[in-house]
Amino acid sequence: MTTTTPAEKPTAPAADREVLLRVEALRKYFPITQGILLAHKVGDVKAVDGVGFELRAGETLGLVGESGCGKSTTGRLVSRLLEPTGGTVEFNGRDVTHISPREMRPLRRDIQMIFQDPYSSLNPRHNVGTIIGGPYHIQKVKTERGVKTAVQELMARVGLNPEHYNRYPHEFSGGQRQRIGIARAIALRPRVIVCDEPVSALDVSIQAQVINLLEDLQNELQVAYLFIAHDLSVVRHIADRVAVMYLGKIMELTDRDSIFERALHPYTHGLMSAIPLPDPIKERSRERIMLTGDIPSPINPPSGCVFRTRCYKAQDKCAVEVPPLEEVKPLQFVACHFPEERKVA
Amino acid sequence: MSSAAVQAGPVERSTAPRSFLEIRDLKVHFPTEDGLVKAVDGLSLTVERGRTLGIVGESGSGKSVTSLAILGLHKNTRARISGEIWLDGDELVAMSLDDIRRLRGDRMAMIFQDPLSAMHPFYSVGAQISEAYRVHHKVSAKAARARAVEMLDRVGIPEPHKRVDAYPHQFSGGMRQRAMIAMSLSCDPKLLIADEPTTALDVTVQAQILDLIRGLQKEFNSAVIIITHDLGVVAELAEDIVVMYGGKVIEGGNVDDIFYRPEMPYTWGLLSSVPRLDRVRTTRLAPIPGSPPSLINIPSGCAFHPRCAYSGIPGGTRCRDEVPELLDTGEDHRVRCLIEPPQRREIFAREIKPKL
Ligand SMILES: Nc1ncnc2c1ncn2[C@@H]1O[C@H](COP(=O)(O)OP(=O)(O)O)[C@@H](O)[C@H]1O
Ligand SMILES: Nc1ncnc2c1ncn2[C@@H]1O[C@H](COP(=O)(O)OP(=O)(O)O)[C@@H](O)[C@H]1O
Ligand code: SF4
Ligand SMILES: [Mg+2]
Ligand SMILES: [Mg+2]
Repeated sequence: MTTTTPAEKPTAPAADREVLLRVEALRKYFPITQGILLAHKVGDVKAVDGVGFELRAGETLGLVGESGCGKSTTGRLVSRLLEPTGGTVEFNGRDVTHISPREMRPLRRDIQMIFQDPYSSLNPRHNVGTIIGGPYHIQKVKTERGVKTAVQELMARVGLNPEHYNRYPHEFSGGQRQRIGIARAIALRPRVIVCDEPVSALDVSIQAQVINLLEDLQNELQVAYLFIAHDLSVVRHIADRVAVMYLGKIMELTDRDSIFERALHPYTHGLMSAIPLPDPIKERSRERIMLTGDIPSPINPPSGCVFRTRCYKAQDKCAVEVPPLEEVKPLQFVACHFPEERKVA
Repeated sequence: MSSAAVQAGPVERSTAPRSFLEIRDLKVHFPTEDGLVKAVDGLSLTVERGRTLGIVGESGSGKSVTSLAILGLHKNTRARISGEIWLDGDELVAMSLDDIRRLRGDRMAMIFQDPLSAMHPFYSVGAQISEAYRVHHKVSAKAARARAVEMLDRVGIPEPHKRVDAYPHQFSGGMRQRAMIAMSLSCDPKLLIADEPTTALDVTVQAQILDLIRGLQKEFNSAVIIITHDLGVVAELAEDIVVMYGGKVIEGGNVDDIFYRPEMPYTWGLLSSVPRLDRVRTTRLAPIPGSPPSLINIPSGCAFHPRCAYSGIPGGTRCRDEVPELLDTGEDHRVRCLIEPPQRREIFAREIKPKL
């Protein structure tokens, strides 16, 4: 078992590592229908509306933004639990955007998911052994010394007592249930794990334990994480690169330190400056960019830049022209007509 | 009076309170099929008008049960309550339910994490605010409605004249939280208790709500208790903090004591566990091992001892056998730990502070 600390984590420039996932112009529109007998479409929820990014082997890409901005939908599209409305998803150079359920099975080995609420994602009528061993049966994978041994090794690896093999999910605490979900996700040694708010429901002391576990597993298994979270502090700790989403689009995408120290998008500024720091002296002297109002409806997003209704820099151009996600500085992609560097954390 | 802080040790019954809110040795125990849940087990604290006290602790540490006790919401239930709660000269633990009801609204009010639990789905937002206002004010329906519009405006709801007739489900999460704050504040309560008021909200909306609470407090000079598990929220809003663990206060002091000079190993653990937005990542997080205790089976001695890295220091099995008292370690700074204060400070300086 390796115990490399994140500080020692190989920091090969992300650009040197092999691209596992390539997502382009990805869209998911959920139709809204009216009428019961003769249901007809009256509009769309534009949950994801033109998202593109790459995920490289062994890296963590953080996906952040306020609730409803399309993070979970993006995660489900990428792991192909949802059928995209448009755009492409490539895994290992192969277009998997519309593959059939039969072709999906091998893909399921390579791309796994971990959810926020481990309880609702674990079958309450199955014991832990069955839950964690499930992927072996579904994928008909042979294990060297039997499934039970393999499962117990996984349990030990994620910090569960292997003797609890026969217990049921309700007999575990929230943090332990998240470990069960993690054990199940790594059973088949996937290349990518989509982690959807995996620590959001946990107390801080337990959250730190699970974050450390995820980091250790990444170093050991070289698995890539698409790490969805609304807590930017967690993302700053765990991610190599960060994509900031707003109303179904990516506003800014760059490496961790640039996003937190040298962000260019006004939404990134507003989002970060809203986070209270656990440091009262800093907190008293800090400048605040207050984002006013609520997020507009994804059924009828604003014209031009979707963020303009809450943006402190918005001008006339913002209402008419959609700002494309462009490389404003090397490897720093921003969708804004008036990007400007600002440190807010 | 300088601050809201923690009272050390047990206090003689019925000595006149010196603070606006003074809780003395409060115990709230629930008999259940599985055993006695000691949700709050000897809690003491004080809050002055115009000050904000933050109560922090992980889930299940007794924060909400404490706030419900102040509002008298455990009365006429199975809960066994003892101790004293003095609010502005009145003792609430012994007070009748009818009398305590009369205090809700203008003496004290509460905002909850989930506004839908506090608001009725079938009545308009305006009707509910008017209703709350008329409990304490003999005014016409028209005047009460005007008050509702005024309050909605005050908490930043756009077009309050139109919104006053809307129903709670027609509001977004942030708007609903504002509406509940408007309802809670309609009678200018002297004590406002906010229990995880922003936990369900996005950070951008949280920032607006915290700003609103701060502004309203200044305006009305109320005493505020903010309950949260988020250390950032207390750093931003609170002047004084108590940290709870296993139904007890384990450390209390002003915000700088808790963030820059903490002395209880559990507080150290909390501060070391949180990832930081404002720092370049250098090391692994330092989590507290194990999980929070069950309040049916609170560990003996210091409730934190099974998870504490320093439980060997006081010597022998003292941490397992002796319940440490909450004792003064500085002005208004109190700590419940068996390690001697000079040694605690030394450990903090040597082992904890460099990694925070
Ligand atoms: N199955 C669905 N049907 C209709 N709308 C949906 C569905 N799933 C998500 N949405 C909507 O899509 C938007 C994005 O949702 P989601 O991806 O869950 O956001 P996030 O994870 O960032 O909070 C939201 O407006 C949500 O209500
Ligand atoms: N009415 C009740 N009956 C039995 N146990 C209760 C009751 N209310 C709360 N508890 C228990 O008391 C403990 C403290 O709860 P609470 O004050 O809600 O914690 P928190 O610090 O998360 O707000 C928990 O273990 C909870 O399960
Ligand atoms: S009393 Fe003992 S167990 Fe409790 S915090 Fe202090 S050293 Fe640790
Ligand atoms: Mg989500
Ligand atoms: Mg609570």
